Amino acid sequence: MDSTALNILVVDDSQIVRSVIAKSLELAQVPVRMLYQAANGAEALKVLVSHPVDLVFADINMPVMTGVELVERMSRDDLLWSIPIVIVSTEGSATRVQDLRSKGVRAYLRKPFKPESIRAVIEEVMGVTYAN
Amino acid sequence: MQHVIGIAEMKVTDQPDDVLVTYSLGSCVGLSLYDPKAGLGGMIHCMLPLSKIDPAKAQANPCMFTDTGVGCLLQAMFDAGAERRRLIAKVAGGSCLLDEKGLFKIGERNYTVLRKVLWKNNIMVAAEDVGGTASRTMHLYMESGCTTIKIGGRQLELV
Amino acid sequence: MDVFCEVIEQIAFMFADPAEPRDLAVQGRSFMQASMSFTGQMQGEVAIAVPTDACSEIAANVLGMEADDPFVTERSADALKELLNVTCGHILTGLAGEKPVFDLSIPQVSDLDEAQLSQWLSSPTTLTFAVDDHPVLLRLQMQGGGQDDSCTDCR
Repeated sequence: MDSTALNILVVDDSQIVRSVIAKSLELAQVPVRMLYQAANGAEALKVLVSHPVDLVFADINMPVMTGVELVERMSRDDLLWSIPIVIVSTEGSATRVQDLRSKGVRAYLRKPFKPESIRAVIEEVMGVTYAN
Repeated sequence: MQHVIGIAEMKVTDQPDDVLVTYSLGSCVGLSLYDPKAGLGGMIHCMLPLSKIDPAKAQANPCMFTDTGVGCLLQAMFDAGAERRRLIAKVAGGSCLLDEKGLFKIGERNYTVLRKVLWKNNIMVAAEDVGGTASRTMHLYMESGCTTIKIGGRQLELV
Repeated sequence: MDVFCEVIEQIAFMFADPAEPRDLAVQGRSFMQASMSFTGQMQGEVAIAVPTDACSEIAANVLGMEADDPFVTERSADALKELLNVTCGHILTGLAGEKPVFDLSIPQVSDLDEAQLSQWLSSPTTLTFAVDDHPVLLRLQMQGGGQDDSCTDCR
């Protein structure tokens, strides 16, 4: 396995969105070692404390624990604060995006997104380039 | 050798010195496919989004419609030995030109249907230059695999 | 409502055109509905009703798979919720711009019976579309500041 392969966590209460992100990663041929999925912030934290994760894709509006709470919890955690988070959400509020960025969110992808923008955002956040 | 792909036409080649070109992509969409390992390239120029408006025409010439044409080009590429995971897909066209019904939607819809077919066929768009109001010319140079667009007198590489 | 047409075209590659309720073939079709509320600078509810078979078509298109695949049919309700969720987000930016922050509820899905369907069709807040020949209804109800009981048609 490629040593640069990533462990990615996808957090969205919609299974169909998680599947679309997974398919986009596959088609983009982004090297993925493990792809973890969680349906809300609380499930995501469980994955994060027990598995090494390089990058998180998170929705905002989710039951149990929202993406905003997840970001806040991660930003206060000694171990999790440095894991890059990309928000993938339908929300168009620049105020909220600004607020999330100030809490460490690295990029924001607004739904609906094109599949190749998943790859572009990984290249941007992780500072890598994947060949076509 | 240069091959001109006319409206509602497609072409697949394995000749490294070939250049595939299609002119005047307005509301039409053009797709170039390239498999670097197999040395295969293909191009199509589709006119209308959906074949259901004229099934007889679609049967006679599937390349006229985006929903039937793109599948034909993919099949021709696979038959020639291309592999899905290696295909590099580049898209141009889909401009908002006033069509005969006075609607501006044909270009946009051609593009949407193209996206749908590629997504269903598990192919990612590597680069595109679409929309706007200008007409485009697309070249695929087989030697390098490079796809270029000419728009408003400027030529740029699609990367 | 252009927002909905753009969203369904981008998410599900389907074409929506505004249609008159009387031109929609709703008879004898079973419908699913999804609804969600929003609070913030404005408060209200957005809901959508889609024929059940069209929901699996939406799911199939979103996933890029065949509509009769069991993986797809299991995700019909999920696809409808996501379509509503994205539509709601874009309606709110369309109405209020990018400044205000809204809190959105989680979309809820249920079946629609005939009585509910005719209620939808007779409501002045319902917008009707033909989406790839399927009848689709979208309803936006707003509550004005302080007048919680007054629903306004915000077309």
